[in-house]
Amino acid sequence: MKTNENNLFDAKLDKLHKDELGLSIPKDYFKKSNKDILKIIAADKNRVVPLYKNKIVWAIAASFVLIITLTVYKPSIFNKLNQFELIVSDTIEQLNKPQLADADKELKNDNVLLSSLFVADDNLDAFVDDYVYTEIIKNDYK
Amino acid sequence: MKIKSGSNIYLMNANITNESKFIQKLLDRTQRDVAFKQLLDLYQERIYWHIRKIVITHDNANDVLQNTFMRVYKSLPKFKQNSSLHTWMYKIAYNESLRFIEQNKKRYYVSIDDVNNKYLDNLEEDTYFDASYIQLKLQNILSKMPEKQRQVFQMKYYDDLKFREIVAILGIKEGSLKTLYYGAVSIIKKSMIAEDACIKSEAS
Repeated sequence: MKTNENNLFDAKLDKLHKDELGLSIPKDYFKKSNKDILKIIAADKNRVVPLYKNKIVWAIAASFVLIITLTVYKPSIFNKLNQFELIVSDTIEQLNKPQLADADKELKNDNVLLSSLFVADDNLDAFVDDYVYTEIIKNDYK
Repeated sequence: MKIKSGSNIYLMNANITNESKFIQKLLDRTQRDVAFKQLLDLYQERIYWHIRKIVITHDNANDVLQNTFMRVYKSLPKFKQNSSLHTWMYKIAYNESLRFIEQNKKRYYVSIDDVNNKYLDNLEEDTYFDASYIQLKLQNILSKMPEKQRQVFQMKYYDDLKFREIVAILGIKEGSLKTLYYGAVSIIKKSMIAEDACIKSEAS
């Protein structure tokens, strides 16, 4: 609470600046300024931060849209993630077809190599053992 | 103007009774707004004059005063009570004034040296500067001082801040501060005595 002593102090402060430095202020300036400052602070407190300025909201919205898009327009992408074994067996089957041309075989071999990146090591080992046994050892010693 | 005696009115410095209790109110979210109004009532005028002497014109001081109290309000939760509330607010006001000058430097000043050269120009342009001959003389002397020295003198003489408070605000050593202050007092005295002698010789 502002006391009489405070008021006297402020009045003398005004006088000192006026008398010695020639500085003055508009009439009732401090009353008006007091209200203005409180008004500005109240306005700042009630200021709504627009959602578009919030980076976190943007990131969440973008993730949400991505999930929805993938789910609606590319549902197969999730199924394909569980089809590695099928890919391997198809590849093996294709490789075993005798009518395939050499070039085509090379291509298929490349595909096996690529597909093998997505196959569990155990499955790949089993395939290689089987292939070596069937195609190399067994056939050579017929 | 009695330089040596200082401004005795400041002996009546208005303290907030039991500052720590008052600070607790300011830190308490439920009581902050009421306490802040009291803080504004008590400190607005002295903070204004502190700012006015740095940014010079009334309009600029008004802008900086608003920014200062806005920053005080926002920074209250971070107030660590390492200094008194009084010193902390002066420091914010001082920094806001320098920020204002820095932001407007390109608009108003060609170089940092022009800050001093512009001191009197800005004063004369201000609607709320109406000086007598002797006031203009004092302002002229102040304008010729290095910026830091002028600020030290004004903080000590007109704002009646203690040396340790000015140290906390400006961040310079107390020894250097005292050298700057007493240097300023000496310059003003000599200039005023010379001016007085000049007037007397013209009269006779």
